[in-house]
Amino acid sequence: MTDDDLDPELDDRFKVLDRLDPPDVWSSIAPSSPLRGGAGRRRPILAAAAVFAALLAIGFTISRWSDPEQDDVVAAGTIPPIEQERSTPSESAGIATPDVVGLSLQDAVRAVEIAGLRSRVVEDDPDFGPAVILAQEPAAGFAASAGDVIELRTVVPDPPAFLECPSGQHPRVDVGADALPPVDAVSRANAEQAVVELRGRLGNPVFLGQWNRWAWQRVDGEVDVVPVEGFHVIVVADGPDCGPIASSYINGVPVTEVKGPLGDFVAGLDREPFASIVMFEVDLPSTWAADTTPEADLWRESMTGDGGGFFRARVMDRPDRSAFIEFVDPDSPSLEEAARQMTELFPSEFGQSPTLAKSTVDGREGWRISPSPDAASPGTVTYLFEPPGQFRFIEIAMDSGHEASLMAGFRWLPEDPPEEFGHLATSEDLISVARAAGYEVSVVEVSVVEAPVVEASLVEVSPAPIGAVIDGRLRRVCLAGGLVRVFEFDSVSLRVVESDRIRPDGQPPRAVAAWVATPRFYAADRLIALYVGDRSETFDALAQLMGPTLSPDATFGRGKAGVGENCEGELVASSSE
Amino acid sequence: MMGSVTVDRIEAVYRREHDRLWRSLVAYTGDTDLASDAEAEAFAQLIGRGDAVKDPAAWVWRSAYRIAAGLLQRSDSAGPVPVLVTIDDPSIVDLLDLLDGLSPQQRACVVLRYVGRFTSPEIADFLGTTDGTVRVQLHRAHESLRVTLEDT
Repeated sequence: MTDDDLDPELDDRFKVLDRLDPPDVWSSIAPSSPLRGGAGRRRPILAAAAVFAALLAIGFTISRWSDPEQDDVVAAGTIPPIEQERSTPSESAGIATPDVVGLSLQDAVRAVEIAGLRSRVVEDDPDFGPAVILAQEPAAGFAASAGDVIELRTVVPDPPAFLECPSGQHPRVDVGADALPPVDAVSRANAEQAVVELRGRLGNPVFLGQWNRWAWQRVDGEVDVVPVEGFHVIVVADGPDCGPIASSYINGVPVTEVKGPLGDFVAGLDREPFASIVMFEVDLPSTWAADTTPEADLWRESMTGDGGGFFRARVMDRPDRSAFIEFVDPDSPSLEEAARQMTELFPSEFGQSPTLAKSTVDGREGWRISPSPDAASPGTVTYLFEPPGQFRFIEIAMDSGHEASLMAGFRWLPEDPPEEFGHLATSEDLISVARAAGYEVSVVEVSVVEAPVVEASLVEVSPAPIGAVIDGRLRRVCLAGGLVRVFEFDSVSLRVVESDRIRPDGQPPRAVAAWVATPRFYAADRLIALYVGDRSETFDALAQLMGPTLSPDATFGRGKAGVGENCEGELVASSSE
Repeated sequence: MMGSVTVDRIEAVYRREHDRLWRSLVAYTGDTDLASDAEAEAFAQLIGRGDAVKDPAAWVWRSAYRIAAGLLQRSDSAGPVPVLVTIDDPSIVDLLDLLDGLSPQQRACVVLRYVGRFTSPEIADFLGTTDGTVRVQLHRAHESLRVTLEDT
């Protein structure tokens, strides 16, 4: 690309940036710098903090905020000023240093910043393991002043998980029948393993997906249809930082990064598999043929009810014959409008003044797009047809003698509920299953239940739709003498999004919480349950009804041992202690 | 362990790319601190990867923009972007105001094209998108900027 496309006036305007004097960034990151612990250390990234928002985000209904040591009270629904977020155990004018030992480095830095303090990281044995805070100076509860530095002693973390933005070109190139991956080439087991691996590395929702594809080529006048299918991993992201989609491979498993508003996307999983646009780009040889033959019914059948999306194919070995295929989702406007959208989206391919006209091919009516002479591929004619059934599609036809096509279908594979625990869609289901198992269980009808925390701080702003879903679905159940908070979700997928973010140490999604006693999280089907305390009758019952706890490493922290919430929400000695 | 040769190599990349990268990030984010954060983070991660990165310059540009996009998103979620107190040149402020009217993707494309002087395939590589998309974004950005400039 030359500079011919640059707007001279705009180019001049950008030259004012030369007046900016760039600061010295290197000295703060070079390994020898005293300002930096070593390679891989990152500058902390600030996040907003609001105690009530944090509690709302994890689903508590808050009537008052209570610190048992100072009886500080804030009205429900209000966000307290920052001073009220801090406990002041020793001096009313001071800030109590937060307890960050055991937290991840990232959470610890955020917790310190939320308290109005600063942090300095001191490395420890780099071979120790994951980046957790081993010690802090001064210790928790020390009265500090705003801006004071807390020294965090930790280990050198590995470079943070960083999913590379790929070029956007599908890395596994389909170049013909011989190169097509065989059916089940990517086994479900491998894909599931990749899901587990990615869930451990990424904070994003990660799902198992299945793709199937029908491709065909014309051999001696006959259409040879090749079915291809496999599994892939879908990473749902909510940022525009990597483009609409990125594909990469992890251990041979295709990983599809889907971009779009996270809340909308996840909320739509069960209703509309492809609420967001999904785009792939593959390379095709020009020998591949597209046709409106009966073979097309094969892939139509494979697509039924599973999804749509946006699909793009380019004939790479014939750069003068670029071509596109699109599957338009059911919510798309008319075929004519879809054609106009195509030309708008890809003006370089269709030129500035393409011609749209109704056209009939093989007895089927559709729309024909003829590129204008300034198009990158003026010889490529694109046809759009609306097939019978739910999904519309766009077929392309190259100029005479050269046709190319590739069809793909995708569907989500929501995780099945564990059958051995019964169908747990609502708290009433949990009650029924518990009664069937012989437990004493009832709905707790109370107007006010304290949040079972000493202190909590938001460490991440959650997408509103997710927080809202959790916020409105809290139920309380008395199970075997203990108060259980049950969070109901509209789908297993939505539940998985949240339960995946509950840490083994009992930290909830998007918050740093100091619990009044040991937090114990459980999840099954559409429910997440939380019991805070050491009453074995209650947590044993939850384990039997919902499976092993999600927080096996949780401790009472700054709370108390040997206590638990009774069915009135009071912290009492656990009978089993 | 990081070898001194690798660090020297990365420092050479820094010396060569720093001014252009930082200024482009300022134009993209509208925030000098955020630009410095993104660049520092990108180079820090580059140092962490050492010889594993074949093209450090391209990698650091790509990473810096990805990190900056993430920081922008966080700052958007956290509330208003801090007032720019470090830029008092009215011409630069005017430019940033002009760019503020573009979508983040359009802004990234325009800045990488005009400040970075990269080609659309290179920009596509940095932003993890396609050449065609970059051209579309540049086209739309030009139209939008042209309208804004005509109105002012």
